[in-house]
Amino acid sequence: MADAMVGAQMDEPLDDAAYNDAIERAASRGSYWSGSRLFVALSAMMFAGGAFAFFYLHSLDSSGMWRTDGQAPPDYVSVPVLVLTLGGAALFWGYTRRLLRGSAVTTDWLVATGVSAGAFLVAAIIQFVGMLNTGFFPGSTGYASVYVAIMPVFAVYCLGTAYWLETLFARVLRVRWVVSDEMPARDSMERTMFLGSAVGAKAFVVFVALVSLILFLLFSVLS
Amino acid sequence: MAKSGRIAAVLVALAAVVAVAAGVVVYLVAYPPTASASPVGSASAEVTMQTVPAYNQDPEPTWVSYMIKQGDSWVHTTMFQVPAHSLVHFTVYQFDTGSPLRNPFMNQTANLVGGAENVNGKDVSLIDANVGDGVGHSFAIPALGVSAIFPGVSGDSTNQCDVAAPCPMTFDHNTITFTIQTGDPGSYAWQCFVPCALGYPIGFGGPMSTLGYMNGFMEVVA
Amino acid sequence: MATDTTVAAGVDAGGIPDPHVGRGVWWRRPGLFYGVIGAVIGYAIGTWLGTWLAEDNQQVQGLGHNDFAVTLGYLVATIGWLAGMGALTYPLQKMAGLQPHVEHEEERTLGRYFRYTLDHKVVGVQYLVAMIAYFLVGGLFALAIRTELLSPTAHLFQPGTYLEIVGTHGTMMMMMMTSAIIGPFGNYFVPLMIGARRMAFPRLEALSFWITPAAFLVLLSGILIGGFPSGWTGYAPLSVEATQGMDAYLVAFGLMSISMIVGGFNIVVTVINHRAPGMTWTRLPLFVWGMLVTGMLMVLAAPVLTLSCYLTLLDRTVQTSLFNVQQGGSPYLWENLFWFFGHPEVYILALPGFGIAGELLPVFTRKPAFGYKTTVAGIVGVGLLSFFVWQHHLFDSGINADMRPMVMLTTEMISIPTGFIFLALIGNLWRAKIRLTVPMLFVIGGMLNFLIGGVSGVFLSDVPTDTVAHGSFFVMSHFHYTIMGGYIFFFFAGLYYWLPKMTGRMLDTRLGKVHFWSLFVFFNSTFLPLFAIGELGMPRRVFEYADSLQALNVWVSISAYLIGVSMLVFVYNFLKSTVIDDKRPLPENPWGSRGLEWLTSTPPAADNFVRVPTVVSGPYEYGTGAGPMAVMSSPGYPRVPEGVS
Repeated sequence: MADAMVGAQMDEPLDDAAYNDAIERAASRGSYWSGSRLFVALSAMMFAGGAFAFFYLHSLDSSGMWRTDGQAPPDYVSVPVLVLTLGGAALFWGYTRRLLRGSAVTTDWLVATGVSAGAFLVAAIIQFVGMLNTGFFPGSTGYASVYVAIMPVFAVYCLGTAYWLETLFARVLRVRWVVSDEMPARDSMERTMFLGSAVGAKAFVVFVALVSLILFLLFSVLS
Repeated sequence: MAKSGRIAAVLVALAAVVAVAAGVVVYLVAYPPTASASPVGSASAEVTMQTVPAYNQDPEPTWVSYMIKQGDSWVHTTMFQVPAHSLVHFTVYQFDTGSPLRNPFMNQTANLVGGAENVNGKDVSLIDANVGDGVGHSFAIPALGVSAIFPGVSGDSTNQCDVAAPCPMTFDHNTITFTIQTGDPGSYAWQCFVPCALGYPIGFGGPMSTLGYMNGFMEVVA
Repeated sequence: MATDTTVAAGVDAGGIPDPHVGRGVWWRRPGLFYGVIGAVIGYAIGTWLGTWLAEDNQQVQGLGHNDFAVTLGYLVATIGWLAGMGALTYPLQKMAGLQPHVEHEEERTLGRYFRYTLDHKVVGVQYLVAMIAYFLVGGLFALAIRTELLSPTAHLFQPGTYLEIVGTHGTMMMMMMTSAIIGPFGNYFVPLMIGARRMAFPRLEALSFWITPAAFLVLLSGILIGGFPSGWTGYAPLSVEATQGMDAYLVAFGLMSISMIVGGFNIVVTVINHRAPGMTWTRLPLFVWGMLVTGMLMVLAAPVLTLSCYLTLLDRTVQTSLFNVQQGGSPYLWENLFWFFGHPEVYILALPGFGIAGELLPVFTRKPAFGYKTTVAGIVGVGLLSFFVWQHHLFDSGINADMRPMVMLTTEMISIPTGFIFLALIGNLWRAKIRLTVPMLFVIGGMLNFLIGGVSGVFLSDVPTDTVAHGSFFVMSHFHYTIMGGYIFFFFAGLYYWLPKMTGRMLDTRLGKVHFWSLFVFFNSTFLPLFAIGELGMPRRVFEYADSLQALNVWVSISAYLIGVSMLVFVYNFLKSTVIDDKRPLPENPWGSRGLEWLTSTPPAADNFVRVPTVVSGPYEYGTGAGPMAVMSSPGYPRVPEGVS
């Protein structure tokens, strides 16, 4: 809510535009924060549906066709995807944390974000290409079906993450002062929106990394 | 815009909506058409059908299908009318090939007048689907306990029907005749029980679950 | 890419004007025209792509039709439609590092209703007109059903066609109508009622609306490609084996689920973050509470529906076997996933109506809202519990019998928070000076209908009675009482109440009363006998029934036609008041409401409020001597907003 923000800033009466602007900035910052968490929540519900399908069909083992012996995606797909998503998330999370604390050099953050976006993009490409060579027919078993269903969704999420990070990267590349803590940039809507987006992305990459780990455990580790 | 203009615009819009709605209703009412059985006598009727391996016409050119003869022409329908409390004589021209049955119980006739059907001039009440040319299709009315089975045309035949339905009699086919007894008026669902819908998970989708192809209704009227 | 490293360059550097805003000839900016072109091109590309990808596929050759081509045709057409409307402009600009501003249109032209507009009020009106259209189309299918059921033996349609019609009616109503209240009234009024100048994510709001025409047309197009035999619930394995019309159902429902997610997401974030100073949680209007919880349900339940539709499309196209028992799948997987969305959906349809009832009752009883906190607790409680009841839809389809008592208990528990809401709503009438305006009539009518629907629902939550009534017209009547009798009545209450604010036009009161009374009488005349018909053994989705039930069915059908006549009265009233008649001056606040939305101009200015208001009291302080609930526009006021701790 905007109250605390406005109250804290107002030493003098503000004209309508400045008053509205102050409230809008606080609301926008909050919107990015809660919006990103809500996006994580709704994404979690969708992946939970996939996890439900996994365990439900696993436990039913209809016609003894849950999974054939040794049926698993190739390691040369699943391992790189895991490494790239975990690494990309860690890199972006760490540097953005420093940026938000004011201790990061902008160029370092740019490099880290660019690399991280690239990592998620490559992970998505590997996963998509990997779907063409899983080594099993989609409908051969319940396991194969769930894998063929869920992994493209995850690849789309990797692609989406790469897109989100790229927008942050491109924004700073174009307008460096959005990360500046000096006036007038500090009180600008531009900066508010950039930082809000960065804070949201910081939470989101952690979620995607977590999903990556869980999917790896489900499809490549659990027997 | 003047008030008269606004009224005109509203009326035009409403007329368009009514026209579209009427078109949809006409479309929904018209399909599939219903054929009437040919009266044979005061208490009997004749239904002539054929099963084609592929309809070869839009909207589903690759689907297997029944067709029913109305007068001298073949109609793409599986809806037909017959009289109540009567003997109905069926003649079926089977142009499709056959296969083994998933459910062997379906290899026998049931509740046909005389206890058997006639295949190419020979009375038959049971067909071993695992030998010879197998079973192509069946005609069953669950509510009456009726079932007739149609042996397939040889898969090695070089004269199989491959033209747009209906299939002319010049192509290889089996001729099956049988008779059933109808009861009270009403709609009786019938269908083929051979899972012949290639490409569907258990063979019962597509043409098997679509009126006008492998299932339909026998309307028994007073 | 130009790089600007100086703060002094100004805070607007890198920002660009919104491409959707501003004057200009219509063909020079995105809009409906380009949307249609995009859809046509997209459909052609998608169909070609699907054909190219899968024409040699053995299954496709066996089926004789290519579900890939149909599905991709629909999906790429939708992308083309949205691209033509301008939905992709912003994401692409973001990729280039640009930050388009949200600018509201000052011009009030008809054309803005056909564009990807960012003004929540325009989106609200777009939703209103569209939802009325979807509802009337769904209603025509209902009349077709009742026409078929005039006779047990003489048939207008073939049985398969009848199933198509039933499925299209059900899906249209249960799918499109999820947004009938949150779409028009939620989008239009939530920002106004909480003192916000805009929605949190205006582009998402526009997206949520412009997906609905695509979903609507895709669903209707299913009729042209064989329809779908599964009813609105789309059960497997029938859904996997059905013909191409099923693709239309799955794509349309999937699209609508995305619309729900996006729309609900926006509402939730807006309510949390964009409340004006002083708009504390305990001052939040009940309608906004209803929207907030409905939005949460949409955000958390609809993703599972998106997934379900996607999984079924995979079974139909790339030949996974998620619902095929022989290959390790299970049709129960669909039932669980679908109803995990489907039962919260029931409350997605109920809670907005409760919100409207809670909002309107204090206005027309002229006293403070009875049991405000109880009502809020009820709304939140219903929302929470709605996620724990879905398996009662599986009582008779093979659920482990030992599980049934637990699900029965959770289902019955939901009547407790519902009871909170209902008792509080009734409490508003206690010793009140009731004004029987048209909106008030619809609220009372909706409450009476919902009561019958709710009580019959308690029967159905019991395993023994559900086992008997399952799949019958009793169930059908039950949910029509809650959805049409409750939700749609409350929708009309909101429409009659808020239309003066949205358009500056008041619907004719005399015609409104004719509409209400005819709808109330004929609705009950239609659906009350259906309880009996169900109890007498008539199953749903079957076009033949016992001869002995014909008299009742004819009665019901004639009553249904009269509902249609009642709707024509409404359509006439709506068109006459909003399109045909010349605008007559209205009082700014015709109902004498304290609501914040009535403290702005009519229709509201582009940014709603000149200055973000400061809320100083609750919205329902009728008869307490309280002043206006907010300080609206006072330059320099306040230095520190009142009510801020």
